[in-house]
Amino acid sequence: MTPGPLLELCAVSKYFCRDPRQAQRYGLVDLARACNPLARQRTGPRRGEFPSVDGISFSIGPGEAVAIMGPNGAGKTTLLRLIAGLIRADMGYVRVMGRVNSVIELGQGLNPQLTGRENAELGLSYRGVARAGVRDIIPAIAAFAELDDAFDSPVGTYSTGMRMRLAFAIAVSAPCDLLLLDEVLAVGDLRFQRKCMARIQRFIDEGGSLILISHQIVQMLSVCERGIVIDHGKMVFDGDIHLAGDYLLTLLGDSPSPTAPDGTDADDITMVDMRIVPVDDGPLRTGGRLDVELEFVANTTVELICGVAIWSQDLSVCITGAIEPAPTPVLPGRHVRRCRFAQLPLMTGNYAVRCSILDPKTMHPFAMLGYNDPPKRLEIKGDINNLSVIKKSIRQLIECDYNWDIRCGDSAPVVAANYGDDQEAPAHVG
Amino acid sequence: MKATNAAQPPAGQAGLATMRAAFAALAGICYPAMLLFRGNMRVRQRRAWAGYLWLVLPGVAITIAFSLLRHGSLFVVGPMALPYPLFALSGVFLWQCFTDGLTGPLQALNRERYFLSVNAAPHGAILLAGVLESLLALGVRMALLLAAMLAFQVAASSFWLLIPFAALIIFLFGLGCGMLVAPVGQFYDDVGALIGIASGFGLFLVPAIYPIPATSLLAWNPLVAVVDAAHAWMVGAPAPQLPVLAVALAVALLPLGWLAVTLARPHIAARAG
Repeated sequence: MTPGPLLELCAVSKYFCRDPRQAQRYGLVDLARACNPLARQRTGPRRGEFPSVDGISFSIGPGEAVAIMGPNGAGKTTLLRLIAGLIRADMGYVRVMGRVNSVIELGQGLNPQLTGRENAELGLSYRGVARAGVRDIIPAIAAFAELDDAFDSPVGTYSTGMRMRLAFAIAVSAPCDLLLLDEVLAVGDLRFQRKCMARIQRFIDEGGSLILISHQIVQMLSVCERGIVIDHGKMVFDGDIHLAGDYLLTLLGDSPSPTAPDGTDADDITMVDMRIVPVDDGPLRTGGRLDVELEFVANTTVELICGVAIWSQDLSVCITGAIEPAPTPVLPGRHVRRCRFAQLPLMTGNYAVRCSILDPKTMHPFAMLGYNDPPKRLEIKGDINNLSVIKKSIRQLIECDYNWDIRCGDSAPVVAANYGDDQEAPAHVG
Repeated sequence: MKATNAAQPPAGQAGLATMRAAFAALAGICYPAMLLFRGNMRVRQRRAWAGYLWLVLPGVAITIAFSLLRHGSLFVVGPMALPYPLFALSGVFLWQCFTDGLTGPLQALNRERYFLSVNAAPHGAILLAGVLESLLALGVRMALLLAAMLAFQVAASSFWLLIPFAALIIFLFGLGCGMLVAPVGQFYDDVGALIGIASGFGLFLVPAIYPIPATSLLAWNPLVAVVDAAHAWMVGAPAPQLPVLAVALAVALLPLGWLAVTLARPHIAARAG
């Protein structure tokens, strides 16, 4: 027999009211309705209410990993709270066939006066783990959170990173069938973030189901195979994760903000330097050749992928990127990678160069330069004339090689070729 | 696969299923409640120098104040079977048991309101941990009362064994009331303020500081019979009137109160989190 869905949502709606007094009144009315076992479900919003989640239906099977995406305020967290049973749907229903573990706000509930061990015991018991189970899981939490002796010290003495590591370890250690994660994977340094991702991946590989909310598309692409896009409370897309990601970016209207995971270089890789080296003599001009050299130290044998990206000066747009086509293993020691841009089509102006060294399994960074620290500056020189000023004023970033086919009556075409601001003389062909 | 978390069943079955789930949830709260209770005790120990003394100091202070007033004839109470300080101390302690029960649920749920709105932790564990703390306080108060009775050379009697039950009844009655009003109190802070006033003022509506005549309107207060019974048991006499009404009310209010806080949780989380 085919197993049924682990989670089923049927036309689920949740309404909120922005007027606090009215919301309190509605709360009391809803409480009174909840006390009446024969009360029927509501049929729509009341005065002053707006839908945070509006008629959403989907189901998730065992072992599925689903990303829920959407702009800020789309209703993602409300949906997760509905699934977790923290709040009730005003219309429709949520049915979960299995144990749910929700992690909506990391660190909530950690008591600073209690030790890490005491907090772990309490956190696990809150998640329904029995006494015997808690004893078994505690050593795993201590090891995962990497707290060593601090595990038996009051949490109030921990750094923020240590608290977050402990909170994450507690949150994901309770056995469950469906794990709900809301923006909680950006924990600690980059190495710990990769460890978190690996932990989540192992949970999925072992047959667990996951619902992940994140604003980092890379995270969602690396873990989930299905994406659901929500906008203004409505489900607007449900399908392949790549198509969902593309749909989200289209929905957002422009490229994603240049966010990167918080953190410093991971232990596996230490970034030493990134050098910008024009290949030809003289200043770098539009269409010129450029080398970007990455120097890093591998502290262990590891597979990696290097990437370089050129951003607009204000870091709002990634103009072009160059990612190695395949992962390569490196041995411990110092390494240099060179990326050559053979014909850089950048317009005259200043740009920013960032680089990252990625884990090919998760596409999560081992190390980065230019994201949490200042990027390298790249200057493209060129003549200043009317045309260059106009192009700059309209924020033209690149100029491709192009041809104009100009005909005048039956005459032979006149081709005006141009590249960058260094105009070549129009040439007659044919 | 077993439905272990049918978060919200289809319309029409929601009310009854939720009520069933409310009582089923009681089974899983003992272990987290014990851990939370132990944790709270450790926190109290780490943060307060006087520790458990704070459980009895307010009651002792009120007793001393009224004893001094009576000694100076500023406050007149007729002759009674118990030494007045014992009468007042036991009355104040019993009243404190009631206020512990009355204020505990709202304080605990308000303290953890945001946490419970983003975390599926059982709210029953938070309530039960509070109950255990109140029971500990009750035990400490009873121990001090016993010491005071011995100090005042009150003749020992087997009726003394019933005094903790009077305290327990009064506490559970307060707890039932407290849980019943806690949902409204989480929406409106006015309820908490009113409870605060009632906790102070109500001391004078029970025979804690002075005896209440049986003919008085105040004698209808179900707590009066409990406090009177405790005073009678202290001197080794049977209770003039068994506190049946208070027991019946406690038994009725406790499940109703639990149902109220459980049904209210998602609505509080949605609006007051």
